Amino acid sequence: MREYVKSKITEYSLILDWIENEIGILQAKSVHPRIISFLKNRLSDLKQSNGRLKAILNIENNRVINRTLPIIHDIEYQIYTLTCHYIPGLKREQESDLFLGNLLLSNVRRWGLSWVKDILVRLDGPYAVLPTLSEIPIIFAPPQQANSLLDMAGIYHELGHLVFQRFEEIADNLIETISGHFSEMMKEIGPMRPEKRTQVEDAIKDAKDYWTIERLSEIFSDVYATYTCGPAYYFSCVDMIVKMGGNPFNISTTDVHPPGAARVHACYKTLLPAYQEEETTLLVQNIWDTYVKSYQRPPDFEFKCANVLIDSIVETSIQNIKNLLPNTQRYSSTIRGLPEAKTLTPSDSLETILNKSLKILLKEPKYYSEWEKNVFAILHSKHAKK
Amino acid sequence: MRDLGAISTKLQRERELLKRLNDALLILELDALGRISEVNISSEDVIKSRKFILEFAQRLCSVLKQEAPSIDLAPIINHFKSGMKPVEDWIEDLERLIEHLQNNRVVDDDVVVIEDILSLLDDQFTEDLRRLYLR
Repeated sequence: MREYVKSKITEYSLILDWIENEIGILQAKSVHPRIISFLKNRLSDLKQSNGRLKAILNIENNRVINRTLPIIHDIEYQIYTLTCHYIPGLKREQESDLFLGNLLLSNVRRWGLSWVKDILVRLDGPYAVLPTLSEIPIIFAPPQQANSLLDMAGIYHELGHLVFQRFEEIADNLIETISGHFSEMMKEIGPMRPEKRTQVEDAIKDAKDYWTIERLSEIFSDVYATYTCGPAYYFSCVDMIVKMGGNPFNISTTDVHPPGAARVHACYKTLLPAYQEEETTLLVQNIWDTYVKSYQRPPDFEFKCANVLIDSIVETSIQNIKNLLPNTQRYSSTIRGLPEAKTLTPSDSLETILNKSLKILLKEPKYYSEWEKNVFAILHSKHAKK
Repeated sequence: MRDLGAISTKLQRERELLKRLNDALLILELDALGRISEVNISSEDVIKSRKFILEFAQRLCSVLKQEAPSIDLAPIINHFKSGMKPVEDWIEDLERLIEHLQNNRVVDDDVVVIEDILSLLDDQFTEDLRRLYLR
């Protein structure tokens, strides 16, 4: 083990020197001073961790040397984040990435993300977020996103992951809600044979364990996205499930996402009552109802994702957003009919634009392309290159 | 949408606990060897580490006894419940460690239980790290 640790110390010294050199080159571009500053701090922490490995080695004690493996794994994780995400992301950054980054950054306060100092956008993949360094997250999006509003509401879901990671109490509170739900269920088991009782109790425990931190993160992010973006995200969620196909009630133990039907229900329940009755929402709901009617609900869906449970998850999530992010603006704009949707005003927020976009797309798609071009002409003039 | 965000969140939480527990255990082990000064560790660091491990052991014991929900400790609890060693024996080991820490005794072999838990946490962390690499 000593030889292995020695070899890792040498390896890390070389990699960290290389990272330092790359950061120096990127710093000279003067595009993201805050990101560079955070990366330098991270580099400094990594050098300290490598120094600690050297110190442990010098103690020459077999028991103490066992403490090196978790340190090595942590260094690997940090190096991976820097060398596979931040450095290539900064190196490949183009005007389109910068435009979307600026657009998002100009909205973070309204979304309640006060701790976010800069955003690195990578328009080279499907929607995702890397929230490891929560002050300077990386957001991945498809390349067309710099010129299209279609699917853009998906970004709000990624922002939800940032919130979920930032406030650990959200997961703890959701776990409490879920445990409460299943404890009640346990109490309600009527008289039955002992073998049957054990079977039912095991099924309840299994249903409770289904709600892992990843699935909680996903469903919370849906709630956050609908809370901030309104019906435009509700449609985005329906669209995503319908275009992926398959039975939206199926529960997959390997998928970190809850089943599509549970996610769509969570989004719908997050909408303010006025939006639940609104024309666009009713249209989207109709699309959803038509899609799901040919699918059957397996019994484990009713058990693990019962509407009453999802409603409680939504309620706890909204309460957490209100308590922890009091400055987050819930989407509450009113768009009265198509004529208003077609009109852009300087005060329109990104989510108002996305909701107008949805209205036009669903009601008058032939007008959509021209409208989107107008929107981007304005957005580019505001947020293009710093 | 990729599951990068959800996996990263899980990893961050695991990392935090793993790092703090590993650092604290390292300090206690060095203290037991009488070699803290060689690695720039102060006596305040030793006090803080004892406190951290004491609180962790107490929390784990409480969760094991009452089955209270805990997302951070879930992998440990699940492993304990499915392993060969009875849960009662884990509780006994933790209680012995708690007693020694509370009485300010130098902990030596008592920390084996924390070494075992760290090994479990590290396995979980690297499992999730491999999932992240595949994304």
